[in-house]
Amino acid sequence: MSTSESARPLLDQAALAVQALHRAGRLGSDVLVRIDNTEETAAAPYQFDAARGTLHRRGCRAIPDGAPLYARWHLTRDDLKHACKRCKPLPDEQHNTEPTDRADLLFGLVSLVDQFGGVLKERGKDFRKTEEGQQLSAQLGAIYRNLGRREKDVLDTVLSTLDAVIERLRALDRSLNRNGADGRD
Amino acid sequence: MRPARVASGLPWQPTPELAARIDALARAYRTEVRDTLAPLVAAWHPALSASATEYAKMLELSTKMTLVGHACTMLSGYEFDARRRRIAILFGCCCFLADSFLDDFGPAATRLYLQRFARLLSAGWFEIRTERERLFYVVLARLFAERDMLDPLLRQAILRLHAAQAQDVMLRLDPDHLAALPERHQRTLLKRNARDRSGHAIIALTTFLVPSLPLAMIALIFAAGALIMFIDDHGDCYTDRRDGRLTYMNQVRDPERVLHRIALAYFARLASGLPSNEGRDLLLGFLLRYYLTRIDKHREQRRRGGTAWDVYE
Repeated sequence: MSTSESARPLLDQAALAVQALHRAGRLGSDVLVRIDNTEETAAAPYQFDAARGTLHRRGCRAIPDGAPLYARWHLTRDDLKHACKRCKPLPDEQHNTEPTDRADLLFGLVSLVDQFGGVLKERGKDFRKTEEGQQLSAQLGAIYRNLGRREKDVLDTVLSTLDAVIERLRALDRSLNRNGADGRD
Repeated sequence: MRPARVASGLPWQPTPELAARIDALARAYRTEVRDTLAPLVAAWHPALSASATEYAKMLELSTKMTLVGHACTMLSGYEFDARRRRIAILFGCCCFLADSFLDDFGPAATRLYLQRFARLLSAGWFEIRTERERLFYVVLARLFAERDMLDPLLRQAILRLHAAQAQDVMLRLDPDHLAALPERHQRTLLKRNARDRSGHAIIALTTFLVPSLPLAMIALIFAAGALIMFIDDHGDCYTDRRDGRLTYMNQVRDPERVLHRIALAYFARLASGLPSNEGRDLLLGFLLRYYLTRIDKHREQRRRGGTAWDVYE
C-alpha cells in the first residue's frame, strides 16, 4: 500500500521511534518483523536453480553445488517446462507445507496492537487536544451526524467487528504465549 | 578490440533509435532520482551531499537501478508508473548505503555490519548509531512500506543477496581461506559469487516492482543481473586490486577477452529467451551501453591507476 507524500515524514519518524524505543528497552517483543524465511524455504518441496533455470524436487542430486536456489511450494503447468529430467517434479502432488506468512502477518499485527495500544491511545488523546485534532474531530462529528440511520448502523457494525477480531486475535496470541508453539490448552 | 567492433560481434543489435531513448530515460530518471533523494538526504544525513563525488555516485547508482527496474517491469508486463519509479530509486539508494557500510569503514565495522544486517533480517531491529545509518533505515522503512514484505520470493531474494554480500566480504577479509583452494576452485568460487551478488539483487529489485515472476523470467532476469556484475567488476578491476578485493574479473589473465566471451553467451541467452517487447530492448540496450562504458573505464583506469570514486554514467 502506498502512502501520501505528506504522511511520509511522520512515517519516517515513526519507523525511527520504534527502533529507538527498542534500543531503550521499552518494547518487550523479540521480533518486529522477520524477513528471514530460511527454515520455511529449506523445507519447501521444490527448489528452482535460477542460474540454470531448472526446477528440482528438494534434495535432488542433480542440483549443482552452489546453485542459487529459490524455494517453491506449488507448481503450475508452465513450470514443468523447467523440470529437472532426473527428479521430474510434478504439479499434482499435494503439499501441505504452505509458508505461514499470512498467519505471521496477523500475529505481527496483533503484537503491534498489543505493544502500542497504550501508546496509540495516549497519542490519540494528545492529538485530539491539538488544533488540527480538534478540527478533524469536528469534521468527523459532522460527517457522522449527517450519515443516515442505515449508514450509521453499517459503520458501527464494521467498527465493532474490527474490535471483536482484534480481541479474538489477542486472545489467541495470549493463548500461544501461555501454551507454547502449538497453542493447545 | 575497439568497443564498436565488440558491439557488432554480439548476437543482438540495437535499433538506431534505442540509444537516444535510453539517453532520454537516463536524463529524466537522473532528475527524478535527485528530486526524490535530495529531501531525504537533507533531512536525515545532510553531510552526504557535501561529499560531491560520493553523492553523485549514489545518484548514478539509483538512476541505473531505475533504468533496470523500468526494463524488468515492462518485461513482466506492467507499467513503470510513478510508484514503481519511487521504489526503484529507494532500492538504489538502499543498495548504495548498504554497500558503503560494508566497504568504507574498515574490517571491524564490516564484520559488525554483517551481524547487524543479519539481525535486521531475522528480527527487524537495527540500532541506529550514525546519520548515515539513520538515512539507510528511513529509506529501508519507506521501501518496505511499498510492498508486501512477506512475499516468499522477495524474502528469499533479500536473504540470498545478503548471503552473497557476506560471502564477498569474507573472501576479502579472509583471503587465506580462498588462497588455500586450488586456483581453478578459487576462480569458480569468485565467479559464482559475482553471479549471485547481482543476480539476487536484480531479482529483489524486480520483486519489489511486480507482484509475481514466472520461473522462466526469474532465470533470465537473474542472468541479466549476473552479466551486470561481470561488467561492473571489469570496470573496477584496478581499484578492486588496489583495495585488495579479489573478483573473478581481476583474477583472469585476459579480462577483456573473458568478458567478451561471457557477454556473448549471456546476450545470446537473453536475446532468444526474453519476450519481444519494449522491456527486452531496454534491458539489452542498457546492458550493451554498460558493457561498452565499462570497457572504457577499465582502459582508463589501467592508464592512470584506479581511483575508487570515479563516477561513470
